Amino acid sequence: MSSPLLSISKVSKSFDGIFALREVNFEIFEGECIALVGENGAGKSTLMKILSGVWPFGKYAGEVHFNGKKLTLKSPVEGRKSGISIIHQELCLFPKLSVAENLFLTESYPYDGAPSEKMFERVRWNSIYERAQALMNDLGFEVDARTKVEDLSVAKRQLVEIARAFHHKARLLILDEPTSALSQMEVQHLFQVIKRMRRKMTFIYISHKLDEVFELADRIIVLRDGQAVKSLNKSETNPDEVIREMVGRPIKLTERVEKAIAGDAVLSVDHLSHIEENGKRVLNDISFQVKAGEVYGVSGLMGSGRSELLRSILGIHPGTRIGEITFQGKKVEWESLKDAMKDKVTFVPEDRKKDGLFLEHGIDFNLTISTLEQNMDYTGRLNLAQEKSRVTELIQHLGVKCASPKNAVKVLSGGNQQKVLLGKVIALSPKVLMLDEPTRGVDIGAKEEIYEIIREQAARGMSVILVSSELPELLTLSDRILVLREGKAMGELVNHNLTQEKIMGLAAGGNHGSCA
Amino acid sequence: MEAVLERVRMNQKNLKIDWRSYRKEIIPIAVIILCAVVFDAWSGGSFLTPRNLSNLSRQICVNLTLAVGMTLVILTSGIDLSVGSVLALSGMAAAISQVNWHWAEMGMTGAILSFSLALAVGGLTGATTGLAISRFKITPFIVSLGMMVIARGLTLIVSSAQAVAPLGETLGRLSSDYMSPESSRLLLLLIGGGVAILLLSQWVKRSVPYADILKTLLSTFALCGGGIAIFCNYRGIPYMVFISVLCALGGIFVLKYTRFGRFIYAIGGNREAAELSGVPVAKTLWLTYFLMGILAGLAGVMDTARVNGAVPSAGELGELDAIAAVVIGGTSLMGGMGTIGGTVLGVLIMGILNNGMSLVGVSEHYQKVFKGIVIILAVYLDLRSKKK
Repeated sequence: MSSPLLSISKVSKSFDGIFALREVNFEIFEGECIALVGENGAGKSTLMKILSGVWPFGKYAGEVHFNGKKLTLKSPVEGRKSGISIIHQELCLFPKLSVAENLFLTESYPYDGAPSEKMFERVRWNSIYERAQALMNDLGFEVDARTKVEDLSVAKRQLVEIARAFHHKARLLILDEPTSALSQMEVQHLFQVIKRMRRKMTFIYISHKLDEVFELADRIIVLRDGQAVKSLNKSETNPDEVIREMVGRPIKLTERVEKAIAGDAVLSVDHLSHIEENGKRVLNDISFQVKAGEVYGVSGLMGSGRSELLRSILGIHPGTRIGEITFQGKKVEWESLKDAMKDKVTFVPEDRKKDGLFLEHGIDFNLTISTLEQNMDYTGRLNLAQEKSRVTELIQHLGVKCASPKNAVKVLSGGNQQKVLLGKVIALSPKVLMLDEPTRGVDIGAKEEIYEIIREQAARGMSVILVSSELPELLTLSDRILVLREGKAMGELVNHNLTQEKIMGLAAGGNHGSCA
Repeated sequence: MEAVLERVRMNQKNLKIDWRSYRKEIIPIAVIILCAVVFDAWSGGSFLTPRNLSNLSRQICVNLTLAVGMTLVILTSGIDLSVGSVLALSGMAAAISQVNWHWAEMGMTGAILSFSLALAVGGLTGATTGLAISRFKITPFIVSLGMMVIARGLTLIVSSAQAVAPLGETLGRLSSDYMSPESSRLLLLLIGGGVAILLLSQWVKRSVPYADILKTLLSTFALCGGGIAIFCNYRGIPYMVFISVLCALGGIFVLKYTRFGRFIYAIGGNREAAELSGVPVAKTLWLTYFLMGILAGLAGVMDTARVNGAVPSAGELGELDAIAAVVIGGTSLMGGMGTIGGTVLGVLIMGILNNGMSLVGVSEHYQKVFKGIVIILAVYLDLRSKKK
């Protein structure tokens, strides 16, 4: 075999004495497609930061060789020129600029001549658009180079990033959780692109989703606690083994326990429609009821209106709502979370960093911000000692792993952040809990713990509305599942002998044969 | 066994003070001491005298009052550029009521009425600014910029662009009177002793980390001891200092022990998340700017009392001094992070620079240049310490 394209030898990186990476060794050969898996906190992102130059050469121990040369990056800018490109979960494009401008941001093209990076070179717009379109066509991407990036779907934006990496002559492309915001169909399309591009580039694919990993990768490298513990050939392994290596212990995937749900509806939604300000009807005549202690799942592809449903009920989605919402027998018109929380209805948003957490503040601050009045004495003064003991109790109950309750939330792993977010709303002892993607970007171990918290709350009589793009998650947790397609309710399924295929069939409609 | 060892290790950790985490406090204190020593040497020993330091404390009262309110505003990731003009307008209102409406003749009642009028004028402008920001969702920068010009214009209109002076004797005493040295000493000793007992009980209960107790204890002793050394050797505590320190203590209390304070941090930390956590964002914002207005009104009446009259140009660039003090004190302009304690240190630094440079005869024009450099430098140092 030839020499490896990328070889990582004895790379270590520590923060304040705690190792994020500990003597990691592995090699990747030209043309391979490698899946890099590991729980959150296993060291994947630290490794990516070293490869992209965010942690410059000298800030870590060990050596990285790329393309036969020792990698000595001083900055992310150099990283981009080195031939290694990374496509992050949060895409790095300029939404207000066109596709072409995003592709050739630092270059201008005189009509006849090589690309130029002179500061005052005149920009020839026609030539830029032509070349961009040619590049997209060559790669077989159906993207118009003149559209603004903000008007593209997430999937198309990813294609733009891949094209940009290709244009910058990347030989190694690292994709970090690329499918977390994609619909099933878009995922399939992305996979086809990757399979086609493999002739031109080497791929590292980072994902939590093992089915994707097994579809794409030739080889699976498992990171655990900062070490590369295993390199497995796909043909010689199976998902169970990979999971075992990731968590370092055999993990039981809990079976759903069917339970009888009786009693009156706590929350009922009647003929709910929602029209956004631009006239788009995102929800169309949806009715359902949730009972006490029930976990009510909501499924649907990207754009089916699953998040909008929760936000519309809570009165926080822009636009006009039509229809009636009844909570505990009373008609309600919530206009903000403050209103809903007065009725003990709470919400965990999908994007925890943007909408959920106060990242710079402590775990304690985050846990109690919604329920401060519980720690007030009669003068209205906050009782800090009482607050502290409540926080300690919550942290233990939720199993948040931290050195101190004062730790800033931003240093926690995704799973622990999500637990804090859940703890904040559970502290209110809500009657209805609305969860939007409660385990996005959370590793398997933490996922189970979060499921356990949800089950426990439901057992105490709390109703849960669970929106999720992950079908296994819906199937383990829900008692009934509402399937949405393009804002319409396609059916309500009782979770008895239910399969992913049945749900997908409803969610994807006529096309389901191609993607289920 | 291992659990026990872990506990012991944790306790040792609790006892050991991590000096690096107090960089935010240590650096400004070091700067203050350095400046004091330099100015004292440069001026031939006339800086560190009870008389000069007592005067210095009176000079910084107005800025301290403004900066306390500004800290709250900046913590919400907002800004209030109007405070200098609001100070002028409310100070002018107090002066006009004293002079033109003859409230000065009413003695104490008149003084209280004028004082309240200034607070009301400040509160009203603050409430208006707050309404525009919280209800109509206009950016704080623009709203307060508009209010800055409006309030200045109103000041010029109501005063016909003339100075209004002199005030009645009673209101003027707000600035010129002192608590007697004896009662000042008693008050400071009581405060120092009270805090010490409180901390001792916390230390026995071990409810608060050791380092935090030490920090509070040291700062209380420094403040009370310094207060006794300065004020008891020169006339006693000035009433103005008393009032503005009360404002600062009130600010500290509000931020630490009330929901309102928590909400301020939450809004500045992540506005979206605050909204989705049930924080009454609009109400909190309105209240913050309303409070800022009242404090600007208070600063206005203090300033008017200090010069015994109101001039239409009062408080010019006052907003910048307040913002500078807040920023030097380590509060992030992005909001969410910062303390009143830091702001007090920032006010002290600004005050020492002003007083010291005047004392050694640096011309006012050079002072401006130097102050500007200090502000930029402070923010740069803060940025660098955060990156590490």
